[in-house]
Amino acid sequence: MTTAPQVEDGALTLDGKRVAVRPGDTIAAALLRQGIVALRHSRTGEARGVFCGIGICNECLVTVNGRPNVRACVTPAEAGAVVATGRASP
Amino acid sequence: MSETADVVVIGGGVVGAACAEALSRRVKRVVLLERRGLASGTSSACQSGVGHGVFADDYDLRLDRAAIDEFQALAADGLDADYSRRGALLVCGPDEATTVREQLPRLRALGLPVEWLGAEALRDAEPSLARDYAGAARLTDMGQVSPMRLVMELTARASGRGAAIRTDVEVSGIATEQGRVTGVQTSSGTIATGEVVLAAGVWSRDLARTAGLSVPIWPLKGHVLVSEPLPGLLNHYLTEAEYEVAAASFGKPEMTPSGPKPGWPPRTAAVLQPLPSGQILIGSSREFASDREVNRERLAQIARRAVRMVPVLAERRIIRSYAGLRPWTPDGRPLIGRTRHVRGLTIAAGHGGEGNSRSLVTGRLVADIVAGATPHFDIAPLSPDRFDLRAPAAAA
Amino acid sequence: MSDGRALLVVGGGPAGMAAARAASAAGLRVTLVDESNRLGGQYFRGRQDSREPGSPHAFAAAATGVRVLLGTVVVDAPRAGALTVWNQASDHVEEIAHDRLVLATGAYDRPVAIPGWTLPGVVTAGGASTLAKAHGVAPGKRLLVAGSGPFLLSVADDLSAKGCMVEIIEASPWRASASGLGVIAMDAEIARQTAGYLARLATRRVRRRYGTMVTAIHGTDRVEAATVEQVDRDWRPISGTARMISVDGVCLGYGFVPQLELAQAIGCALERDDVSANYFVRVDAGMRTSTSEVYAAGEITGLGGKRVALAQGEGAGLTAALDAGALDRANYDVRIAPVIARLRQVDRVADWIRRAFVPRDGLWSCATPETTLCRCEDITHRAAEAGLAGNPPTPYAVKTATRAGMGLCQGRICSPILTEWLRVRHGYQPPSEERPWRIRPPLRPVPLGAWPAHKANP
Repeated sequence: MTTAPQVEDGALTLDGKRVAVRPGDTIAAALLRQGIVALRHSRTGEARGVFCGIGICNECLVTVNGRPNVRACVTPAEAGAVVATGRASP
Repeated sequence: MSETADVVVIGGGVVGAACAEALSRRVKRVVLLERRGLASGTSSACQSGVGHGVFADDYDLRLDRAAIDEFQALAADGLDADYSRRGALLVCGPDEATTVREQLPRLRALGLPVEWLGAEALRDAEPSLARDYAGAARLTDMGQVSPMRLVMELTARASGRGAAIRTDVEVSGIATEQGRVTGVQTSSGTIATGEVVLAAGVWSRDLARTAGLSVPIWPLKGHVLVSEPLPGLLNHYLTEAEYEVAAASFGKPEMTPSGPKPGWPPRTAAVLQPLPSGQILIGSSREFASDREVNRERLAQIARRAVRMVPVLAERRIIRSYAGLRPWTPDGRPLIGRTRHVRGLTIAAGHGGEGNSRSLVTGRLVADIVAGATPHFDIAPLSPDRFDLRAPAAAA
Repeated sequence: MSDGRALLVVGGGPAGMAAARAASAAGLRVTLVDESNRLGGQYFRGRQDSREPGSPHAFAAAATGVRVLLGTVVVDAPRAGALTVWNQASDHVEEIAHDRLVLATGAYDRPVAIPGWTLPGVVTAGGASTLAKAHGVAPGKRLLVAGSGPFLLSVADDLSAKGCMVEIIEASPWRASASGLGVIAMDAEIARQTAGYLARLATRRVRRRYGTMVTAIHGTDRVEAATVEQVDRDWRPISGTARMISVDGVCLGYGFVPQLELAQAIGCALERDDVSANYFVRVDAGMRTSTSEVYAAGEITGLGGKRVALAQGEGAGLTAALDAGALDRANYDVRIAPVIARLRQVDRVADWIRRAFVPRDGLWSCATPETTLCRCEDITHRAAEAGLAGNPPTPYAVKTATRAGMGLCQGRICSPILTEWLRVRHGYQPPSEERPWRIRPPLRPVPLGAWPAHKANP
């Protein structure tokens, strides 16, 4: 569990780093705009990211404000959200 | 197909697979027959703790000790099957704490390591539990296994020793002549054999009838919810003390010739099993029914118990549900052994909710029985003939 | 309050909107449910302002009186006449009673397991299109759009419009595409659209290779390169033709798979179409399924695209109204005639696509033992092979032995791959009338506090 660092409007934090968010962005869109494609690691340690892009495959999972297994491709990116890649403790 | 076998095992679930594996060490020609796919029955629709309870009889606890020892031994021999032993917590409210604590010395005396955790120690041991429990009994040797992987590994070992594992073969009858087994009739022909092991779980009653026996095994339906992967949320296999009470009170419903009297009230109690893959299997429920359709009301009752126990689960997602049929017997113990009514038949069925846990020890006992050796454990209380198997066979 | 006129439509894409509109206009009380926060399905993703026929804009402008529930997921079909839905934002759960039901749950891109398909930067063609149109982003800057069918042109158009370097890798030979010239020429709308794609792609120097497939994708933590090979008519690589191209993203577009979970949960009869390697919901000419009072329209009845979906949706809505007694037979016949005519007309192009760009068996031979089969549970093809261990090869056997299909997506991604891999490699015969994958509730992941016991309703 992380405490939310101060972020300005229009940005979320990804593993502690600031990522700009545009209105209407999904989390995946905000990250892809910065060229961030690896969102988690599989049990076998492989990097994974967006695959189907429409919320079916459950690959683009991130932890948002402590909630695990959130699909980045269909979840709106909210300013101030604390997003963590990889597996986090639920 | 016309063939012969030294022993035919009927049933490709955990019990049948364990019997085939143990028999394949002692007997040359073992054939296992499964009517659909391996582990397609109860073994793929259950929870799968390996261990013991707290309120059981001394005899049952000794059997559970032996059951755990078999898993330990096989694990030392290279068995994987996702077997792990992280301990279980029997979580108690103030009403149950005293009764549970009273049992602990008896368990220790029987070789089952247990300790009591007070409220604060409990919070450390399992931080996601609700905060108002009085404490918990920690059953240190309690573990879990993947029943499906167990079946695959056991049958692979058996195959490696020459056993024939046959799926999609329906057994239509156990053939007998003058009180002795002569073979097994299947959808693809008859197999001549003098030894049959009946390990068909809830389907054993129907099959036993073909040999003229009425075996008191009836389906006790359970439900399970599967969570999304939540690695690290739970450290132990969790049960609420009420589960023990529920299980104990199931011992003796009113019986009729065709089974437990209808109208027996269903029971639910939280049993949370965190899998190695991260999902949590959330059970449990018990009711006498023979279908495997999920009952939403029952799922709702389980959900409420689970959320009461681990409140954060309310915000975590369920990805699947299923229902399975435990092979229940009127005294809560399996039938393991021969019967005086039919020579050459060994029954290994009726394990209730302990099929996974007692699978390996059953296999070992059955191998002893079939080979004519003295079993390593007193199995008189498990004798099928403790019931009157000649009682008039009632409609299913 | 059951006068037989309460209609529930599941899916707010072209088919669902059309069904809702037609049924409402014919006198039914309609509720339309969609899991997204906007209507339009996949087709209109990122194009909410479109003025095309059947668009969300057109739907809103028609002021249909339909009750629209967005952000709402169907989680269970507990009994005939009721669906349990969950609203993600409000966490509200309700059981919606209905007299009749239209299923318009659409389709998703066909998953294809080739070596490296799990690398970040590999996305589906539909996913890439959605990301580009809705958000102006792409999985990389140098992209391959690989697969088969005219949809690749649309995706390449979307991506190149955002400034990406794009190359199309079409598995079927050039003559398969050329074979459609006649049909396209007779369809003004499609002809215009296709000409537009080709012109823009030419301007942006988007190359098209035919009879070529991406057979492997390479990289450590993301896509860095891809191997492309020429293939024969069965899509089997021709040795000696492999080349490696430096790219940072691959979009896989090998057709679509219908979303059948709800139809299966309800018990609607399915039938397998071996040509497209898909199961579809069986419907009659009025879009009735085998389950009484349940209708289906759009991609789940057969992959026909948007115009077919619109016509089918309208047909389903009208038939529901007829069956409910809200529309008399004479009226129905008058209204359905142009729908049937339209369906016949627009289906010509759809039919050509269905036949010319079918997935061929070579597609299922690209996987190596190390290639992932089940992404959710990290099961490789090697593990699946080992799990079979001499048992009759069925999807169920692999699932039991390996946990493939038991993860979050509940087999949506791996079961199509598994079925075809078993068929091609092990001679498995997929059943013709039953999808070899059991469905259990919930139909989508749902918080335990919402289902099965909603905390507001103890």
